[in-house]
Amino acid sequence: MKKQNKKIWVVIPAYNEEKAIGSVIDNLMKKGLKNIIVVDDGSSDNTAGIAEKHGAKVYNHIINRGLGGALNTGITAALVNKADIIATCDADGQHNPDDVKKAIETLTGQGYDAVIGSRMINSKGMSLSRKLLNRGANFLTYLLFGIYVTDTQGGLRVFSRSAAEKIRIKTNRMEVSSEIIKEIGRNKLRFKEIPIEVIYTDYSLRKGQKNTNAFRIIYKLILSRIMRS
Amino acid sequence: MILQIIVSVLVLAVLIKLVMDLKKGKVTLNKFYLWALAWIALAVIVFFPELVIFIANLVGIERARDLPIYVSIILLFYLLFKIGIKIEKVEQEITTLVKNLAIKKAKK
Repeated sequence: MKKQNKKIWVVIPAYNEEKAIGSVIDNLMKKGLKNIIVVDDGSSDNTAGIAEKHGAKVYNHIINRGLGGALNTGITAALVNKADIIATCDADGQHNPDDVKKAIETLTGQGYDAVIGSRMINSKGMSLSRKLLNRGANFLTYLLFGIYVTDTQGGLRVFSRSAAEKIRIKTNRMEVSSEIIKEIGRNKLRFKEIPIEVIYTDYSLRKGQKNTNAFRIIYKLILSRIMRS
Repeated sequence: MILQIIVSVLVLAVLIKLVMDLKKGKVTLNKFYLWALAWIALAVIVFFPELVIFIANLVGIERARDLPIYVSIILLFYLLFKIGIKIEKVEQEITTLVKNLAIKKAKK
């Protein structure tokens, strides 16, 4: 594998993740992903301090804005830091650093604009209700934005610089995941889904999305379609 | 007759205030038309109450008294929707602010 001198930044949005964030950063660094941005989304615990101690560049939100806001800040920050490739992953340790690397290699090796990690291609360990909700979200995303992916809600993504510049994130909260898919469709980016492993621990399950969040997401997505901005 | 006089004075006062606000640039032209029309409609209805019955029958409402209630419900829904969109916009603006603050602070 030829190693180009591309600047890779990994963006991790984090909200009250002091228990997990340290090891997430360490594991990424062990795999050679040294440039890490943590967006501390107004945490009340010591997320920012721990992230800094483990060598990440920390950006602080003075108030909590939700996943969408944090991702937006992180991606912008990575662009400011002259990133050529931007990866995002969750702060709760549910993503395997090997998958992050694999996604980056898929993007550089095969010339995609965006690569998305899908938990659904290989969905062992996921509860049935969660599977069904995911299916529903996929179908709705297809209806609203005309693009079908197997997992619209995953947090592992990789973008090329030009793709990251094109993607505009407007929503603040969890519905950002669908919004990014919409933006990939709108900008006609070349994208690929790759299967990833999900490490569902008690911790990540407790911190993740609640199933009831789905209704909020649906409402917001329809609203965004109506506003059509 | 007393009601008609009170309402006329009230509507006239509101209209004058609206025109003044428009001149000062406090209200947009669209809002000016909307409110002026609403108040003039109120005055017209007070003078010609039969009009309500006529309109109600026109849209298929049997009891004319139900018309204002239907209209208010539709109006309320509309306003709620508008407020929802406005809040969404404000939220986005706050996020932009928070983001720019975070990036500015980290640069130093």
